[in-house]
Amino acid sequence: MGSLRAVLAIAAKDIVTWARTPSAIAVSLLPPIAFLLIIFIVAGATGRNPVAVVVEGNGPQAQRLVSILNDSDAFRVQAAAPDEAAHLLDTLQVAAVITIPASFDDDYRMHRPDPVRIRINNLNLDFTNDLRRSLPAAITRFYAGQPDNPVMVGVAESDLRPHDVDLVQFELVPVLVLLLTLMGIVNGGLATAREFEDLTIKALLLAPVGRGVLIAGKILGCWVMTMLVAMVVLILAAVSGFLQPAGWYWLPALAVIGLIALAAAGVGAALGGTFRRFAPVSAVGINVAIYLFFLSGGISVAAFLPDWIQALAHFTPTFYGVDALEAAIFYQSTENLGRDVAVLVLTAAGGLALGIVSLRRRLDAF
Amino acid sequence: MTVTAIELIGVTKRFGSFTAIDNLSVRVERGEVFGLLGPNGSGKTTTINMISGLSRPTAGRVTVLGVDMVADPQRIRRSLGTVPQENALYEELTAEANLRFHADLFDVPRKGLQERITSLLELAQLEERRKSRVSTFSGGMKRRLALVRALLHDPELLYFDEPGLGVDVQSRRALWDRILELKERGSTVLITTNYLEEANVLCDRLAIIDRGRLVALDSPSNLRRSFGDTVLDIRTQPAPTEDLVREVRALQGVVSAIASNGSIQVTVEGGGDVTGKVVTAVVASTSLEEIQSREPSLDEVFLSLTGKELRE
Repeated sequence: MGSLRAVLAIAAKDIVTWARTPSAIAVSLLPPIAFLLIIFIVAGATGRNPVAVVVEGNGPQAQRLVSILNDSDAFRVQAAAPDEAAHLLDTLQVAAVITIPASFDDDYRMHRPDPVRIRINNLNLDFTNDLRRSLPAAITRFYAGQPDNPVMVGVAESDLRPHDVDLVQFELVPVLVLLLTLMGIVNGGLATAREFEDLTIKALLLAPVGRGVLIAGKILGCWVMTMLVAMVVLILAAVSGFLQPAGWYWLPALAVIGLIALAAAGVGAALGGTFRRFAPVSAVGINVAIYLFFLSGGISVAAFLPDWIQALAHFTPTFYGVDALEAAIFYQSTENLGRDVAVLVLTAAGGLALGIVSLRRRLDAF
Repeated sequence: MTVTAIELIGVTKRFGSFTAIDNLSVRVERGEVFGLLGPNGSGKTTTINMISGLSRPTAGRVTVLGVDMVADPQRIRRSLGTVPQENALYEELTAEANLRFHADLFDVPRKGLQERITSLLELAQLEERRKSRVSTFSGGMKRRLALVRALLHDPELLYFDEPGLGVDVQSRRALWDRILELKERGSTVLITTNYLEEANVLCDRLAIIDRGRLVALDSPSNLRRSFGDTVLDIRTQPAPTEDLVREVRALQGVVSAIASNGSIQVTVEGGGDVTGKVVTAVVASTSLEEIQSREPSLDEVFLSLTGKELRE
């Protein structure tokens, strides 16, 4: 009973200390927030390219093409006069100017060659290619809707997943995993390192409790702290509609989150016991968490990355965490869940063992 | 109930090839305030770490309240209240939260805990600051809080590392008063200190250790007496010569004679006769301007036993 009381007291003390230490909060929350901002900005910038459309003809076909461009996922359309459009392109306010000539309707009726012109600011190949692909796609759609459609070849799409996932939503999962690893590794490390740096470790070592109680308290505190923050993020994401596991898929999602947090807490305790100083723990912890983030598909789908990164990703535990969370949250799927959970259980056990052995050795050597 | 609070029997502690404590034997009786003195690096902290169970002796035996420290360190820690030099308080927690955390670690019964915490905060004169974070406290306030924290679980033995370190004169006096109150109540208190005045005021007995060895163990007054009965500070004009110092040093009953800053400091045993011989010798060779007679200080005892060279 006394041991349990001590374990809970140590855990509660670490949580309160974290909540009252702005630098520790900043170290663990700012990197995920920064990545989240980047994702929002990148999604906004790359999702739809801004274009100016100059409509010289007022015929119904010209208006229909404008409407298709407007409805397209590829463009953010701004109607403009020719001079205004040229100015917008020169001042980098739009990426291209699409001109639908005055003769468009007549040319269409007469089956003369497609006269739509596009002037592109080809300042980088990524969005230049987006524009090069998107305008023909819009024109194909334009023809597909015509009763006398001359294009007989069509695309029959079938989707692997039940629904599309927004880029921001998709990237939120690796960011959530980054938050978990950062919170666990960095805060577990700092909570331990702080005891040595401030020499409060003496207060713990002079208490009539075993080393196991001290270690359990430290790791429990870090795990609970990580889970609390993860729950707040998950609830906010669910309420806002970004991340909503359906039905019982909450359970695997929570189990995966708990396992990642546990592994990270163990590694954090080991890191804190090894370095015993605030600065190196922060530096090493942040770097480890960010590398894990990239290797688990933080900026792109890991499967589409170069072979050597894919190979590395398969040795990165958070890769399996991201995979399991994506399956549970987006696709209501248990595909690979067994494999992912098994890897995470082993990782959590490894992280805990590392933390326990490292901390015990450090405490014994004090 | 055993009368011995702490006993070190032939204790040796080695770190690799370095011997920090060399065959140390000391006994602290229940109810006494015992001081452990020594220059930096003398082995005080190593000794304390062994007594509090933070480290194990390489050889020898440490018993606290009759219990072998190696065999049952947790039982001893339950009976030991410790005030470390660094206070080891959690700066982000309030004064009350620090005490509650300590109560949880020591499994102090929850019944009556609130009242006990209140009375201890009153003892430390921190009742009005019970909800303030420790990071806002002065050095003296932190020291007082660390002291009452050590008392929270009602220990039989209190260890205080450098009570007066880093606090102002008023706070130091207040801490001394608390320690003397504990002594009056029959508590056993072990202190380490570099302040000889502190040791003189507080301690019933002192152990002076140097380079891991015990060099003296007695009451402050006996230690002073062992150094000599009387110290004579004699100012002359002109300053005493080396020949005069040698001549005085050779007199029977003179323990030591040292020339410094135009004066000669002579430690004597044997009272007035010896003093008379010293004065006669001085007057025969130079003009005596002033003579003061006093008891030896603990500083002088300490320096004579441990030397004057600086320690890291």
